[in-house]
Amino acid sequence: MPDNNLLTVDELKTYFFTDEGVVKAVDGLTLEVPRGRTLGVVGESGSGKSVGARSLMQLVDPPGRIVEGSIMLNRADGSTVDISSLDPRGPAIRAIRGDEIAMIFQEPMSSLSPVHTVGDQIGEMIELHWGYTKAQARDRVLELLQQVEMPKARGVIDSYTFELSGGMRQRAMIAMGLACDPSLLIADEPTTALDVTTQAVILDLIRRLQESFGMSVLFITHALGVIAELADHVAVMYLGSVVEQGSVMDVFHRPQHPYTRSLLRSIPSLGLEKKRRLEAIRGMVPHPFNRPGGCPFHNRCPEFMPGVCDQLVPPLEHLDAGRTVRCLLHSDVDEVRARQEEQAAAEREAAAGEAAAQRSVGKRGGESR
Amino acid sequence: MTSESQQPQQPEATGPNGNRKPLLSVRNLKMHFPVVKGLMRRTVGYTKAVDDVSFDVYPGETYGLVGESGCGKTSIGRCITRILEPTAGTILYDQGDGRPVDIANLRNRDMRPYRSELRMIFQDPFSSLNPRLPVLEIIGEVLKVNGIADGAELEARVRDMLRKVGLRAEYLRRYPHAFSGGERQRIGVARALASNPKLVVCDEAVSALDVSIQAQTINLLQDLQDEFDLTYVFVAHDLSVVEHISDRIGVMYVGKLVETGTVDDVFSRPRHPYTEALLSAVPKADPALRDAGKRIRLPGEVADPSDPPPGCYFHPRCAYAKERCRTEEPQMREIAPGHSAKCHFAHELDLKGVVAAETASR
Repeated sequence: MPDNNLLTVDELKTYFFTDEGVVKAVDGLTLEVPRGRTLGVVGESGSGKSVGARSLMQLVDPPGRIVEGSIMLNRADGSTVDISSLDPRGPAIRAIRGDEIAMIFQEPMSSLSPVHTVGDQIGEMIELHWGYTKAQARDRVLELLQQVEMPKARGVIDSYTFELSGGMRQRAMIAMGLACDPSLLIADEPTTALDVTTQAVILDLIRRLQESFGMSVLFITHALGVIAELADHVAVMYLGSVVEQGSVMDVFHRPQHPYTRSLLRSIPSLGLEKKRRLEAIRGMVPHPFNRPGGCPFHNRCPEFMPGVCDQLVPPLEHLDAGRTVRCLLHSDVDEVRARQEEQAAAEREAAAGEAAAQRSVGKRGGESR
Repeated sequence: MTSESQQPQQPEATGPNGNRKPLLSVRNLKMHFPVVKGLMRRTVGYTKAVDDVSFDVYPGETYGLVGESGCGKTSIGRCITRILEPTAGTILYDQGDGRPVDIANLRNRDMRPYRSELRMIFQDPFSSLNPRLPVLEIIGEVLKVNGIADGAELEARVRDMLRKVGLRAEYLRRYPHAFSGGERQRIGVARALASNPKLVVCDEAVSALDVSIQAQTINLLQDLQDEFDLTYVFVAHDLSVVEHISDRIGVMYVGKLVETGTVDDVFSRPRHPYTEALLSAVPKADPALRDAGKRIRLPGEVADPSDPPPGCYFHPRCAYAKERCRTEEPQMREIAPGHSAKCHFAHELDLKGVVAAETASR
């Protein structure tokens, strides 16, 4: 079982400690990235999909940091490493970044260097990670540019990014992602800024490259259509956690979470029955400081159960192999209630004990604030 | 009586509304931007953002303008609302008394009475609202400037407008930063509709919004259209949204209108190879359709509007291009009633439209 997955993320929490309070951007992310397949992560803005992806590479900027959970990467040599425990600035994670896990971004113009040629910036990675000489790296870059079907690759290698069109920049970005033959490519909205015909070409390219390189792809997007075209498995995110994960067919044809169902009904799709009124989800994604208690979706949910969804946090339920859902409609509510009450009681007790201990320390020390 | 005297060099058939007169007749519209170079800012050429475009918009309908970035769809919207001054052409606007006025050639001063009737909703709900003005002034400005309402009456009308777009009337004195993206877009809608306009240009009005907010906003626009008898020119790049909201559409490529007709006709039976490619490229939200039908992938890049190729602008990327396409520019011709395309071979080609989605059991 663990060998089928390249990456297993368990209850990952990435919080941002700001002056106004703690933003729980990723709050209990559980994901499985299968080997050699494409996992699509879909969610609206604020669902934590980008922060989640950055966490996988320890790329979260302060005041954000990973506070809990594990990110187990099965490496090519058979060993396993927990990325969440690595120092974000240490050599261990830097060896993984770009080499084993690579990332491509939405805006190639802001993530590529404007003052280095395409060849230099892609080549630098290969020199660093693989110890190639400049000349060797240049050959490899040319090969990569040909693999991403860059038009006039021989000319582009010495061009600057501003000389390229949007589609060509995204190809350069992808070439850079593939430079060190990563086992996981994280693509964060790589086609969102592109026109629809260019997007189609880039999606085809990613699909072909994935087949020929045999890597896993984690594809993050807000567009359900793109997920339906590309992904093998889908994870639907809402307010920092995955509410549903499963095969693309299951999630699109047999969605189990009310949020997934609502999302699918709210998009206009080509060729669907005409002038059907869109079924919009009421309300909006809550502000991160103002997260509802219980199930985070309960105040927008068409299947809200009063007294249940607003009180209990839905646990992760396994339906079938690789199929999970986080919704109380699928849980044994009484059992969940008993468990969470027990847990809350234990926490209260622990807190009370700690407070008592602090009081006694305070009395004795006489100067604690 | 009608605008027949100015008549169409590219005739369009009667609209879907029988023989009703168009509210807006755009004829041979051109919007060229100078390309300047060097210290002396010498004009070295022109970017033909909109190049000889003609179409009609009928009262009460939604006319969708689609195309990829740089095709000129936004410039057309801005010419209609006279944010831009067109280089050439006419835009006849029927003010209701049978004497259409050509808003393309009005002086700015003479344009004023029409500015409250032709309104615009912008794409970005963040940059299109003045951060220093409270909602009352953002929405009420058009009423005040045009002397439609003032003082207490103005406030009452703004309150009413806020309720109509689904915002609480108490928010009147708040500033834009206090609202979320979806709410701001509602303020943009309220501002456009406050003066009781006849025609609203929605320029990518829902493109920047999240999926769930997008659906709410589309529904709102449709409800308001029914309530106020509005006509929309809906500019967007998202074909699924355009299909959903439009009655008729125009497809643009490098400043030219290449195909126009009812949404059903254009989407089910496209007559221009570019439309076919565009439809084929749209991701379908159903994994079962992944391998349905052939995919068309356009080679190369969109032509440069300041240096377009000879003949048909689309020929370097067109799979059906023949010798004639390289030399002779095709004219817009009516292929079927109400359905026109700008392609030499529109009659002969059997192009593929949208594969009807099996409505998945959801």
